[in-house]
Amino acid sequence: MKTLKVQKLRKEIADFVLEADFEVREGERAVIVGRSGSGKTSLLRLISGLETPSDAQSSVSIGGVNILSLPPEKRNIGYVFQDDALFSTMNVIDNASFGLRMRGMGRKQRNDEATHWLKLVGLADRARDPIHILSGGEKQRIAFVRALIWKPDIVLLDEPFSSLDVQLRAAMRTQLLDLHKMHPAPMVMVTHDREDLAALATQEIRLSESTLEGKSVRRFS
Amino acid sequence: MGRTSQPVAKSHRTVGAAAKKYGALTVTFFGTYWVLFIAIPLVALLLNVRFHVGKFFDPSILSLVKVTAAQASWSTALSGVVGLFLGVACSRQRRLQLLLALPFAISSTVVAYTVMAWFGRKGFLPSFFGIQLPWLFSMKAVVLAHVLLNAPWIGFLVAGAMGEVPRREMEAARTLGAKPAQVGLHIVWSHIVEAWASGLVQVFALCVMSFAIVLILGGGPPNETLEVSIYTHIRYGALDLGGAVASALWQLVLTLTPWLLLLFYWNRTGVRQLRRELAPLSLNVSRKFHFWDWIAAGAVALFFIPYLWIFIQTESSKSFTEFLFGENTWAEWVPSFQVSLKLALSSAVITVAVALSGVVSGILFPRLEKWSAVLLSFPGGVSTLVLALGFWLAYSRWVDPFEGSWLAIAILQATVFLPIALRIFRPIASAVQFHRIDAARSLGASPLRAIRWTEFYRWKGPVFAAFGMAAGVSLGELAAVSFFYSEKLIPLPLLMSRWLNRYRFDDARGISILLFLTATALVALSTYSGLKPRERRFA
Repeated sequence: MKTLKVQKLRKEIADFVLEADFEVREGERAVIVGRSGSGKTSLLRLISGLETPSDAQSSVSIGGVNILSLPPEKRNIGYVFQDDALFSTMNVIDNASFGLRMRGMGRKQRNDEATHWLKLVGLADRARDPIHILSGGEKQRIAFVRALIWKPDIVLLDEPFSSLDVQLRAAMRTQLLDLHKMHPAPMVMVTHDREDLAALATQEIRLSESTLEGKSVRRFS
Repeated sequence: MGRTSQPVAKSHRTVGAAAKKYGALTVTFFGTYWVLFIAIPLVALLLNVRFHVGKFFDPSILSLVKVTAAQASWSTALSGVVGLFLGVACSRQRRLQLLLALPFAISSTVVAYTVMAWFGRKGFLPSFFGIQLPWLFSMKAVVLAHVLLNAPWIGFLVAGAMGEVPRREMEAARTLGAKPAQVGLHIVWSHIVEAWASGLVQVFALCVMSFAIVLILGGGPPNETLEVSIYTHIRYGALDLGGAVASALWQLVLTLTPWLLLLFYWNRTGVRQLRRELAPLSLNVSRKFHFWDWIAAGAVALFFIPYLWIFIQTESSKSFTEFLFGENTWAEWVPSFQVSLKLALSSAVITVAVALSGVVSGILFPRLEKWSAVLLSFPGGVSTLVLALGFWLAYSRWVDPFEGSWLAIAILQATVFLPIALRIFRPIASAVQFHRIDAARSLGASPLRAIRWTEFYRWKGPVFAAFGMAAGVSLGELAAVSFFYSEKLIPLPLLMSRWLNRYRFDDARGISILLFLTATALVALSTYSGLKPRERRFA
């Protein structure tokens, strides 16, 4: 049973200080709602290792192991970026199976696995298509598959539905719930849409603001 | 399922009847130029082939094909390896990338002279270190000069492509378990390989077309290439039109093949890729110099320090001021300088006018967009002397190489620069702000005034840049000049080549410096002010 624990995480960002203290257990989906520029994306980047915290006391642990000293590629964290960040020079199946490839899985095995996951999201027939011809919804589903297929310890989602229209968002939420059932790792999602919170969250991480020594402190807990 | 990220149709092209009127003018001008000065000369050349079929497989011509292909292959392979290293090393630093762009400014005549100045009998390396280059006048020296000239260009393309690798994709790869080296291999390489490969193809064609370097460093037959052979068959010794036509046809095969490869690639990947290919002049964000940047700076310096040697005066050589103001030299170089400047400015005006008309035609008539790009890039697959020979064959009633033709030289120089002008204009053309034009028109501006106030500031810089670069390149161009010169029409590169043949190395050095300084000043000024147009806010 792996649990994500974020303790005393602290980062000084241009005009404010970001702090975080929370815990997400296996099978749970924690949702953070906040306005643009409030530090939501920075929090996910800190957890994933794409940015480093300012405070040595900070701790991010998965299953009791502090991962803060590890580079991003060794943290076993699936990350769905806001703009999907699919690899534009690869086709659908190579994108979906990239995480497996980096873990040394052979081509046939990883293609079989990726085909299985692509079937789950209804994209098996687009496996050889280049990324640029896909629709926004299709890209988003591939981004979900890419982040989950290699069974990461935790999953982070950065406003995954922000570029989609209202109807598509509802369909994508259902798809995400189905995929999360397949791999129920602790999930942290940031959004500015309260409907995401209502539809997906098993817990809400709240953002509170205070001032310390003239500087704004934003705390996620 | 909604397809929200599909390319959006350009529904904003609402400039309407006025656009069609101006568009018809630009299409007519561009089409007429292309037909008159590119299509008809090439057709005339091809029609002439039937009179010289036997020459086509003449062993002497076939041996030239072999030498040309071998020389170009070696030059391309070495430039490719070195250029890839330079590009990757310089990708972090905008200032270094600007340096890599400088070969635009350096005439091939100056490059050839520089190799001689380093390795010649009284050159830097023999004088100071006793290092002799036993193969100074051979194909090896030609390859060395080509690498010196072309490796920074490939580096420039690679560095530009490195700057366009999406940071998000690299981060995504890291979160999926890729180590930094794997990110380089799977993500970065897949983004830069196209720019690198297209650079190789271009460099191959350029090396096949190389004239001044082969003429000066090749050492003469048997180290002659097809391009030099066209010249020698027409203007050196007895006139042999058959030999020239056969050489030109083989030359066309060698230079058009890479161009067709690029075209096939563009066609396969669509206009989207063509736009990316044509936009390598975007420069990366500058950062503070770190250790590896200094190493990169050292590597780049290796490609520019050699040129500085031409500025250094040894005990036995004449000073630059002595050259400039010497009684004999002044009377010789000033008229040539005037001819060169006049030619350079005329070529630049023609280049900008033709390239702009082609690009604007593509904007106003979207169906012509791809065709205008293909037609503008076409001269990249035809060498100057092939076009010159065709020009003569087509218009021999009016143009005679033995009497000289200022207009023919200017048109040829302008035509061969069109692909570079396309590179400069295309990124600007693909981002025309139609909604701003519409907004200005809805506020009462006429079509022309709307364009003046919304688009002019975007185009001003690139137009000056193209003008400066075209002028800089034609200043040192030797091929067209050698074909259509007369005793009253001797530009600087030709004068320099003559002085080298007469062992007037000090005076040739003076011309090298003059060409280097004038062309560098033209290109540096225009590149700096032109390629980074500041977005003026539309109030």
